[in-house]
Amino acid sequence: MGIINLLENEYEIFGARWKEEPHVLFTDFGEKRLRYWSDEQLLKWHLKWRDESFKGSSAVPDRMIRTRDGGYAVFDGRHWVTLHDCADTPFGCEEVGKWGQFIGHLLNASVKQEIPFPVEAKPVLDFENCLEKLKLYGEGNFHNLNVSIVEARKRIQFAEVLQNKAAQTPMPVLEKEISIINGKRIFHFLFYEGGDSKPVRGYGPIRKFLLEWLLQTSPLSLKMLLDEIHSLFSLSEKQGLLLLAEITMPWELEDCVNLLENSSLEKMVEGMNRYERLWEDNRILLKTVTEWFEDNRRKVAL
Amino acid sequence: MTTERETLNYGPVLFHYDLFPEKLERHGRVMKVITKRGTFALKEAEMSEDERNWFTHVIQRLSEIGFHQVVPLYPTKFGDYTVQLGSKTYYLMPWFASDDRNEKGKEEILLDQIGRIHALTLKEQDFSNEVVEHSYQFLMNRWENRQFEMERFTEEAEQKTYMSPFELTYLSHFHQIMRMTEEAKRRLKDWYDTCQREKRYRSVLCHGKVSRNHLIFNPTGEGHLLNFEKAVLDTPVRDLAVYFRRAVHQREWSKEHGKQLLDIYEKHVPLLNEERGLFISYLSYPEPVFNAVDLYYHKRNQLSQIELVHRLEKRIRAMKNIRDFCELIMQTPPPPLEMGNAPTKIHINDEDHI
Repeated sequence: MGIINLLENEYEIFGARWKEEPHVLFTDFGEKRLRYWSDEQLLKWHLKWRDESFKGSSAVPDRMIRTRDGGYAVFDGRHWVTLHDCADTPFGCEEVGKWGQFIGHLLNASVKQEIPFPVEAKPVLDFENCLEKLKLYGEGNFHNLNVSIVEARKRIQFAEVLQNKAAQTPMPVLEKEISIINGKRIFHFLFYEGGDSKPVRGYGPIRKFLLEWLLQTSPLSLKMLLDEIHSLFSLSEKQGLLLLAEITMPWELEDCVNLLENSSLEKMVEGMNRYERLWEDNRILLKTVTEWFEDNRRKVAL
Repeated sequence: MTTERETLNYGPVLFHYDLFPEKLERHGRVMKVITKRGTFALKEAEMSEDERNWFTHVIQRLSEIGFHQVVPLYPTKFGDYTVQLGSKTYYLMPWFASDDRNEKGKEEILLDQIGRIHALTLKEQDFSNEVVEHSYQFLMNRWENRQFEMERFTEEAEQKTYMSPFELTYLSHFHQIMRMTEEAKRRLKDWYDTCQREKRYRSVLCHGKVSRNHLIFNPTGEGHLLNFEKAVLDTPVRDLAVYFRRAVHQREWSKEHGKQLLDIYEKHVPLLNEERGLFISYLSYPEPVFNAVDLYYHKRNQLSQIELVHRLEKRIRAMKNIRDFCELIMQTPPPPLEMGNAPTKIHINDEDHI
């Protein structure tokens, strides 16, 4: 029996035909996306975050559509197959409140994840390795490179202090990539298309999302987004310290180093320009987030 | 006709059911949703998370214990029974068109079904002095405070040289109203004393808003109850008092018909003596009259004197109906329990209790 027949039997869908075989179907109830899972535990983890982060939220993640019998997936003999809604229209970044609600509810759900899943180990910044690679550029006497190394060293120390203050605090377990481009519009609500990757522990995905937000909007909009998140998920205590530590840690140093190429002077200069842009973007992110925490601390003190 | 705005407003809710409306019609707090897949009733309510969980639990539990005359809830495509959007909760049911042929005998069916739910969920509670004491004190304090407010209103009115028509009407019935208040309080005290002495009280699943409007008929003419949003575990008397307080206002009300309806109910759950006393207590307390006074006090500039007086007189007439009804049910014994309808067990077991 083909997958379409299987789905028509198990789900209340009719008139199914492929739009993008084997991932997107046209049905009488609109377009539906199929996801294939070889690891049932990973599927359950994705089911849980989608269901939990939806509770009380106006944003709708692409939850698993239930079968006629209330099941969350069907087995096609090789994989577990789940059915999801599908949308094309980008949601954009104008409606800060809706994104903030989504991230706030997502964080609430992700710090109390009850489905055990072997998450990937939290990555560690290998500063010494970065220094080793940068030696090749030392002779070039690039001013910004030298400044960023000094700054990175200080930031690592500060991030470690923050991490120690929040030791033993449960870290969120999140999808590896949370991105604005996954936000779609259905009617006037935010529909978020999640992925199927292995989860990661820590604020890495949120850091990347905040940077993406900053690049597409402005520091003011980023602060508004943090306000919205904070109204649902408190950032004034240890979770806030963990987020700040994540943003303070100069992860971009690794990214910057990886952008450098020393095959020719032209490539070196080009790589250095990219390095400078990336470094600067992350500095603005850190500055904006630090200002937000400072403003927030003052509001509480008042 | 459905406007684009309405589709946009209800689209995010109907998305959860994969319904694409061809037409939406508002009927109070219910939206009639006409689609290619059929016609549905979408109810809008305000419920907290706990209330939502309790509500869906009640509907599912009623089915599990064998009561199927409840308008079913359709699950969303994600398996939820309600949809929460902002402060509003929505749930979807089949649409049952009203049919005047079913109106006759509606009250009888309603009381019969409430009796069946009560019989299926009846449970003799372990006696808790704390619970009984708290319930008694809470209600007694509330009644006495209300009584005090009404006495103060009376004193203020009496001091006026020229009383308003509303005040005159109220004062001419004041002693009767106070007699009913005292009667309600005395019966409440009797109930409390009996509970203390007998060390027992019973609870059932109360619908919470028993009304003929909450009974509708499916296409085959079978009555189904709906709107369990205020369902609660409480004394069986709660639902009866809510129903009869409203019923005495009806034009076609008679105490004899009221007694017949109570008999229909008591075929399922015969009231204990102390419950009958509590029922009379709940009915006798003239809260509707006090509410009319509150309305006069707070909205006398918005409503005309004649409107306010009519409202008060209507409630006083209803109180008289209640008094006559209470006298009748005190005199005549309840009907014998029909074995076919008798609850076969008080409750499934403690854990199964709804």
